[in-house]
Amino acid sequence: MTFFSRYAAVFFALVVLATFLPRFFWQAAEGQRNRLAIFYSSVSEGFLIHELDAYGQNFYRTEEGRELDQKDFVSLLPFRYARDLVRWGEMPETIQGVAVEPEKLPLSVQNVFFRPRSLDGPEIPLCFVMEAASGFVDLEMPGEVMRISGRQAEFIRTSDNRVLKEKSLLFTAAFERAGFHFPAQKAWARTSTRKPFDWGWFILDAEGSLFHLIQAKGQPQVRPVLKDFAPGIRYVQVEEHPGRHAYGLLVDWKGGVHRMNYPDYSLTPLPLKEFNPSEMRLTWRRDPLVHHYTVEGGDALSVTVTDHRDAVIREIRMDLPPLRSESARKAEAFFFPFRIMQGVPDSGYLTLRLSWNHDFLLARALGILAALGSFVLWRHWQGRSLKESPADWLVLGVCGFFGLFALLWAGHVPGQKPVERRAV
Amino acid sequence: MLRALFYKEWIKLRWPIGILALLGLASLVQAGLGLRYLAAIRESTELWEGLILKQQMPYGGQLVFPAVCGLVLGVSQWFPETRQRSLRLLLHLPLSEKILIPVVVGTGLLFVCLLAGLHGLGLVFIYALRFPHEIVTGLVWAWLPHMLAGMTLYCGAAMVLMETAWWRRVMGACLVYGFFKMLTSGGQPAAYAQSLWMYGLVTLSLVIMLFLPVMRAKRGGDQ
Repeated sequence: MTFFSRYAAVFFALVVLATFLPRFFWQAAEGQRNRLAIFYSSVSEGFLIHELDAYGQNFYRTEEGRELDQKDFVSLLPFRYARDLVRWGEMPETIQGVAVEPEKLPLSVQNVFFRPRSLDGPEIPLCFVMEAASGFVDLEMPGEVMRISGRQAEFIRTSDNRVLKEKSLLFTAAFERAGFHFPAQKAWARTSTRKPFDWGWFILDAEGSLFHLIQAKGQPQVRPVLKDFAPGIRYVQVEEHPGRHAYGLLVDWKGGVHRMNYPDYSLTPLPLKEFNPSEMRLTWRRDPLVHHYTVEGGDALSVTVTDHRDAVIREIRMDLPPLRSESARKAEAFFFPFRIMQGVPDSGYLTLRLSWNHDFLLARALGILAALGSFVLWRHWQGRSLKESPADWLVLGVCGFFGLFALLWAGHVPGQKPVERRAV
Repeated sequence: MLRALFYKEWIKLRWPIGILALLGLASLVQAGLGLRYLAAIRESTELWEGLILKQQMPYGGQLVFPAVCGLVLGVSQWFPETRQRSLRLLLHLPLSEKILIPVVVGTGLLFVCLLAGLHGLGLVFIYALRFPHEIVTGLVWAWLPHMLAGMTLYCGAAMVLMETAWWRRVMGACLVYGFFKMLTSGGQPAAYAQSLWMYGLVTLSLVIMLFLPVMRAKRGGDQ
């Protein structure tokens, strides 16, 4: 029993130490770097770079390194800073032969932000299905929520927590007519009244097919969108934009990101190289001439520019100064052969995910040797035999300094007597 | 003998249990009145929107109760046992420590689970009167890690009081506090839903490790 109890103590200490020590280490050792943003100018047909340093100072330059002042920078990005240019009376009438109508820009300029954290997270599986054709300008939150479980869609009135039977039957029948298989696996929407109109819900059924639900004048409209989509659907980001260019983004289980086009739901794979949706952030900017896709992840920033037929025009990749210096990473490998992460980039859940350190084999090996050496010294100082609790060496060999601290805290097996030292 | 041991623990814990039961009842009354007030001043849609979309937890304040139970019962049960090395007296009872310690620890944990469990059931009942099971399930997911946090604090209090070396007490308290923070840092009801069993396993390891300081006190261990 004492044996199990001692290793239970070691396990407990290992979990807590491996969660907090690397976190504290990087809070102390992680560096800072300037914020960088890259834009494509359709005026100069080149990339422009905006850099913000730690003191709040802005720097503007071209991709060739020519310094710009703020006004020149703004003038080269007329779609991004249209309101400023209109106020100054400097908005160009045409760009690349295309007439620019400032009043219509809100319909053709769109910014979509994708973050890995959106992919997964705790949620309450109840859907506010808004009225998409109320006839009023403003959207309103409905007085009922929908659940799709078992073999039906059920509406529950929020005022008294009662199921609305007629409405539930109406929507269930609409789902069945569309070929929906109950229950739903996932449902995605942008549930907010702060949007120009409502595109309802995209719902993944039990067989992995995607359906689109809109409520118009109290009636359900359920359309099958995707069936037999081989990579599988991981996430749909719905984007209601007054220009109605696309329903949003679709992320598949193989890491591909697609634009779901309006109105036919066709998918256009985004031209992103080495994009990992579980770790990287994506910004899609659309303007009257081009699409910009900006990918931020790791220590690099890359931008791909395509025309509206999705042909790549330009690409740029910029390596950023690493936030974690090599010496700090070596120190991490020396002290922490692994870490336990509670928060992970692609999920809102609090997990306990073990992540092994694969960097700097030599530093890791030295760290484990140092931990073993410290333990030998400690046992010697305590007058303990090296043969006592042989499993301790395994703990040290796998866990390094975490194991050392855990074993020091757990102590020796109670009752075992120290080795008698010879009198000198 | 076991009945006598259980009775001895009950004698130690009855006042703290009584006070905690009253505190729990007051907390439930406050939860019920708070929810009623919230429903009165906010439109039902707004209230549901907060719970479903923003994942607000109006019951967040009540989730502290299991931790309070764990800490109070841990201290109440183990402080008298560990003053002036009286833990050794406990170990001189005519019962193997392999039965004695699990019974004593189990009694404490049983009361923690009972008090916090009844409080949790009360909360579930209050919310089930107004909300569908999806929202109530969210409450249960939010409550479970706090229940583990209560057990953690109980074991932490017992371990800190039983330890024989000061440095080991301080390090143990830091580790227990760290794990307590890990269990209570979720900002969304079902934040722990995917890995609650792992947190449960770590809590179980803390329960099992309580045997170690007891044996250190009995047989004498390294400082």
